Amino acid sequence: MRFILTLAFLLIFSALVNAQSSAVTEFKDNHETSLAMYFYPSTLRMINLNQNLEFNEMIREIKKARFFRLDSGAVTPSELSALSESLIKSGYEEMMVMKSPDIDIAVLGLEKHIPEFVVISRKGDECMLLEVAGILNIAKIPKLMDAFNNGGFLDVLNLKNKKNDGSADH
Amino acid sequence: MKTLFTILALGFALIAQAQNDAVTKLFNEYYNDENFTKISVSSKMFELFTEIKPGDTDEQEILDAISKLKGLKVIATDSVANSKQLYTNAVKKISGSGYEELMEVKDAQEDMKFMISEQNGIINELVMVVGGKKSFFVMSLYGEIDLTKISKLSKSMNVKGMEYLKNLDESENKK
Repeated sequence: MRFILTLAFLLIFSALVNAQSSAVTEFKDNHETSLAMYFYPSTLRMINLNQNLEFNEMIREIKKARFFRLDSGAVTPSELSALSESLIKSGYEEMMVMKSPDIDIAVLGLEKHIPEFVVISRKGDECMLLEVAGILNIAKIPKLMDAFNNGGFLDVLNLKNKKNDGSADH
Repeated sequence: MKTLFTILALGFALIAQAQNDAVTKLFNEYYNDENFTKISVSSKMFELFTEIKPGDTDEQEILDAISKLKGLKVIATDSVANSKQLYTNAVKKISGSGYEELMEVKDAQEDMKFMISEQNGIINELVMVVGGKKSFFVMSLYGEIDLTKISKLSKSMNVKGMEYLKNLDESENKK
């Protein structure tokens, strides 16, 4: 009985952790990534250098996040459209679309017990994919703006560049 | 008598449709123009935030305001030479289709106008039009709109141009 319960728990937990889109995984696997980051609640809290309580509250409902920066030279706009279509076929809905001269962003969401979001962004030579399982507490954003502006957070996207420049903060 | 009510109901429905069409047409007009930024947020996005537990009354107000929204559309540009003309045309089209003017702000940099569509005492659409020297911005926020809470929402949704919504709060406070 104990074994069955443990097995059931592990299966449920594993399903929860891996409850991320196979379409994104497939897309990422077929393209060269220049940066890949995986965040769990503990690692998300690590970028909060000043341990801002509002930030920790904001990300409380995020179970997992994956971030990929792709070599956009190898990613065509039609491939990104195909990714959106593939996500929609698997139950995602288009929640936000932004098209501008500088940047195109699409946010697709899957409504379930733990909601999932995929953000597809293309800005010039940069193409980014962000996949989040869980929800961000949007009501915390106003209180967080100051903290972000005051540099209380680790700039994870530019860590590599800073390191190359020899200007990383230690 | 029943026929009269039916005709009246149809009349109101057509007026509401005409209002909606005016803004939709405006957005469609610029949809394929590459100089414009176009943003569209669906009701699903807003619905998902209703499950968040607020930490205090400020957050409660933000989440309350979000939960009643059905959508958001924005068109914006900051690189057009005829922005004043675009602003005048947009205001003319929208106000001519039954929207009520809520507030107008004019300064050296830009003109802005807030218009609403109201049914049975409930604001179901807020339209904001901004025209600057080279910039032009139109936002339509629809759903059930509480003006006293909407300015707080603008801080949460870091969408370019939404900062103008704080003017609504200032206008409410002056009353």
